[in-house]
Amino acid sequence: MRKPMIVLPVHWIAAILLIVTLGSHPSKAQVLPGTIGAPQAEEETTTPPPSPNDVRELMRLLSDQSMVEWLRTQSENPEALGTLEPALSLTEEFANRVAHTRTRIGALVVSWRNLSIAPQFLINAWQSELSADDTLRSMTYVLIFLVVGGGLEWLYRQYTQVTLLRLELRHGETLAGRFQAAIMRAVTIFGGLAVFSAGAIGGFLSFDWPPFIENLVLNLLVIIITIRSAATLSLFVLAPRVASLRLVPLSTAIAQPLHYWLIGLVSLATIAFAISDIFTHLAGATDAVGAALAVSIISGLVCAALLVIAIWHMASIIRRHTNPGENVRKGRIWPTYLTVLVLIAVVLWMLAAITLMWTVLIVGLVLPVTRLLSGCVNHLFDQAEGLNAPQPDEPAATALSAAALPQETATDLQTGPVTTEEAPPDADPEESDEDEDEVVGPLELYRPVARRFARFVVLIGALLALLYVWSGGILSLSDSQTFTGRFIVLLADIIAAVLIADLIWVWAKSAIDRRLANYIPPQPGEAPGPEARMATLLPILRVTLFVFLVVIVVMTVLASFGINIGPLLAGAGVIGIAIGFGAQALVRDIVSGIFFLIDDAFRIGEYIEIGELRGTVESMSIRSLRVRHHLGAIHTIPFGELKSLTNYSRDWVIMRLEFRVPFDTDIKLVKKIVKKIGAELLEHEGYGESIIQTLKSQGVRRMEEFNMVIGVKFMAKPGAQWLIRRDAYMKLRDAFEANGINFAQRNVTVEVVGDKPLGEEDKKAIAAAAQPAIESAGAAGPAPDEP
Amino acid sequence: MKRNLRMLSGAVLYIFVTCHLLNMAFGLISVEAVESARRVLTVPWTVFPISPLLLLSMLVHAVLGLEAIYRRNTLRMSSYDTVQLISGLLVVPLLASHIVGIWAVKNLFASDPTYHFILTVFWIDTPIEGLRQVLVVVVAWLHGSIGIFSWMRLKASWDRLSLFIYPLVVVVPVLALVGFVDAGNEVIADRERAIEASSADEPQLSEEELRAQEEAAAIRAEEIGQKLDLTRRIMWTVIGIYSVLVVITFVARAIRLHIARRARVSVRYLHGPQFEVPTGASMLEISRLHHLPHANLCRGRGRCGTCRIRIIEADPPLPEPGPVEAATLKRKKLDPDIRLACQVVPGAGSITIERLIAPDILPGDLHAASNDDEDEDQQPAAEGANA
Repeated sequence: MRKPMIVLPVHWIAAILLIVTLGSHPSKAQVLPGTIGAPQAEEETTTPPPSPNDVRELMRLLSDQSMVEWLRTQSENPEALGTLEPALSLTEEFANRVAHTRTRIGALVVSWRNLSIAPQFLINAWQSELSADDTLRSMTYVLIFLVVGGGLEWLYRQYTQVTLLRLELRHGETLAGRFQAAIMRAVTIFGGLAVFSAGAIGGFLSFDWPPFIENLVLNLLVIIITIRSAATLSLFVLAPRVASLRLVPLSTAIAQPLHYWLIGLVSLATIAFAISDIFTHLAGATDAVGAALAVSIISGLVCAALLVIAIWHMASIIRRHTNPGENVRKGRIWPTYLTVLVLIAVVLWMLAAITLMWTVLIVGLVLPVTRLLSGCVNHLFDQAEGLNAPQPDEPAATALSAAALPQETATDLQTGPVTTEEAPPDADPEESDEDEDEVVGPLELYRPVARRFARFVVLIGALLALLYVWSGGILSLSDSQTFTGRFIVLLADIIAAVLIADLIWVWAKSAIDRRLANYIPPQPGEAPGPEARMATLLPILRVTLFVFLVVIVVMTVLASFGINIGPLLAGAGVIGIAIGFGAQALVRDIVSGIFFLIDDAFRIGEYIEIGELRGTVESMSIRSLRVRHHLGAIHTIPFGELKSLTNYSRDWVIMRLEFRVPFDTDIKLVKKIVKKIGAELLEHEGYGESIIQTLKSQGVRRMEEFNMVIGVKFMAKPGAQWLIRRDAYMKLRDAFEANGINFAQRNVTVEVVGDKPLGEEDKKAIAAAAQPAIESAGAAGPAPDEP
Repeated sequence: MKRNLRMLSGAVLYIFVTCHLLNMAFGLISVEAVESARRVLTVPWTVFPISPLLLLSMLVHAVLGLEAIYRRNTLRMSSYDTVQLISGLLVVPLLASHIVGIWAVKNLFASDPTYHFILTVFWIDTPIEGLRQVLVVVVAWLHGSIGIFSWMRLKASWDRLSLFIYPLVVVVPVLALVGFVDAGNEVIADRERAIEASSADEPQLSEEELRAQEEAAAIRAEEIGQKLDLTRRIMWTVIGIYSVLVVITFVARAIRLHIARRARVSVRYLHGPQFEVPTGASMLEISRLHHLPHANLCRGRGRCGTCRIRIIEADPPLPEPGPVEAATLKRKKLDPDIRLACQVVPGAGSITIERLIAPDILPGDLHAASNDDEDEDQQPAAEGANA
């Protein structure tokens, strides 16, 4: 899908470039000799602009399909491309680089030698541009318009400071409240800054000025506004006075000095940058003395020195405030690392190896920034769930004792990595993962995902920054046909695919694992909850997703290598069909299994009956169901074989009991007794909860030859009925006995005509005659199977 | 009495500055407009009954200001107070050149200081003076505005008044400064035109005429130079005297505090922390020194009563309330164990107190809630952040 859409514009651009180069090349070739000797070539140097007719003709040609085709074939010609992008060989490039460095060192030496006369040179250059009076007047203007902006901002604050104070003192307890407070605070403080900028710059621009003064004053105002913006941003992120509004996990003792350092560093860097910029302009192209270079080097060195001091100062503060007992050497790793990074960057910058400097900085900062961000994410989640509100001093709260200004403010080396402070080595993500499992908040599920996402953003950002530094933009790179360009794009594709897949996988895995961890298998004899079905489906889903992701990533990687995955997909399709035919039964098992699960026909732990087979569902595989009979036997039933299924563990069961009493029993008394026992059963602490409708008498159910059948029933949750029945029988028996009610006993009354006493023989004969009657009535078999 | 006098003299000065700044705002129209506005807005201040009054106010206000610094127990104060103190100290040295300069133009050079002349001086001849004028406007206006606010925000009508006063307070200096810039641009343009014109009719003069002109110019320059020297001497004398006074004030204050602070007092806040501090500071200052939020609308002037605290236990017993505190306590009808933190200076020993009013109280709450005042006030102060 993507490829053709991109290819087309690429060729268009290539074609237009080709026309331009082809058109301009001959004329240039003529100009060069012409300027030296022949005056008649003069008219050719000023190439007349194309007439409207020519333009129209070009447009017509470009809209012609055959022309486009021709251009495309031309542009695919490697020789034509060679003229577009002169590729340097590696050795040539290296030689260039060395030569470049050598000239730079030469310039540095010149500048060092002339250091003593540089100030005078710069002062002269300054005064030739601007007299002392003008300088003073410019300062007056700056002051006046700062007052204008400041006055307006003060006015703005008078109307907003109450809101701000309320926000700081009474922050919300809920997530929404906190979020709202943060937004309100950001809007308020950035609004003040906007009012200030509008007042200062708008006020200034509403007058007419001589151009140089306008430039100078505007630049100074912009510098001040830049510094204030950085300070405001830092105020918003660090909230140095109010711990509860802080967006980063720092204690007040750390946030306050950090805030001041940030402001100091940004101010210094901005001013240094502006100064070296102004002097570079002043010195102009003919900076023979190297004064401007000296200024920029000195300001750069001052900034770097201050940065290093800031790093060590902050590191010592952090060490003092986080865990004093910790190993000192361990705590020095990060500041040392950052110092080395800064020093390398400064040396590279002095040698004008800007590309290399950025590369070192970006690569070096990926790790600290990643840690920093994951700490911030943790902190935000903690805050959102109100976890660390009660224990602000716990070391875990300062899991990451650092804050970074977004790298965008680093406009030059002087600004560089404005803040990159130490992360204590024990902030291991894996370690904290384990801790988190214990506290499960509503947002806990998204924490690892957010952390991965932060890492993802950092990595992608670093990758893009690197690409930008190396070749001036990813867009130009994707058009590049050189091997390096292609390789880098390929690498970026692969990394992006892997990172996205990783993000999805972490999210899905944490979601599934958490649900599985929450699942408690039902106690034997209890009805399983709806989570049981999830417990069945989720592991299958997880494996499927994993396989799916791996396949997708592999496909993407192969595709970006340029391997055509079409046949692969087609082949997979054909094989799939073949296997499908061969494994029809298997497929049927799998598919019908999925549908049984979707129908929620049974869950793990439920007691079911399938045809002849009964038992508790013990496990499910992708193909079959495993049911354990209550006597221990295990049945394995493929899902495809299931036609209908009876589930005994759903919602409720009714259990009916009956017993026989003699005809002369007092039914009312029985009813009373049953009612009392029903109440007793409800009170039982073991199963009282499971009774839905307690034991009640249904009166005489039927009359039999020798007795009445009294019916009793109750409704209970599945699984609990056996225990209740057992107790009900026991209690009823005891109660009946206590109340003098006897259960009817099977007896055969033999009426003997005549009143003479029976002899032993006669008795035997009678018993034998009664035997068939007893046996025919007592034909009731054993009770049906029950667990 | 002292307080009222300071307020009154400050108000006089503030009104004068306002008039003067409004006058400058006419620069947005033209320099002539400024000049004509001067007759109405600035000149009346130089007429007999008002001009000595202005001078007197200036002196009285400066001396009373120094006296207030001497009385101050701590220099760690709210940002408004800091700004007011520093700006107050800066006004005199910054303003000296302006006042002495105008006086010199009037009395030594015997000419009328028109705005066109003054603006030329400020923008073209000595631009550093122009810069200084901008600074003095900022500093004096800040000082005056803060003073006026601290006095007015306790009035019942402040809530409504503030809606108009806030914009006015910003608009006056902003217009004045912008008018200053605009008039300055006009003056600069005038000067450029004049230079062009003079360079055009320069060569008409003969050599002798030129020499005569130069001699005359040299004599005049010498004369002007002498007068300028005198002016400068006067200015530096004023600044010098003032600096000495300031230094003496601070030294005296340091000595007073050194004597007062030899003992220590242990302060405990109900539902709050406990400190061991040197004596000599008021309870409000102690709170602020330790970053404890404490309501104080009038910033420790004993007027508003929002810093009230309940004295739970004090050893030794606190001295009786002074007249200012007693008046406020009586006006608010407070219990006998309630005092104003800004006036209570605990002696050596120990004291336990409870803050009674939430630190984010507003001037509006002071009057709006006067009915259910008592219920609300008895709530313990919110244990807020270490603001």
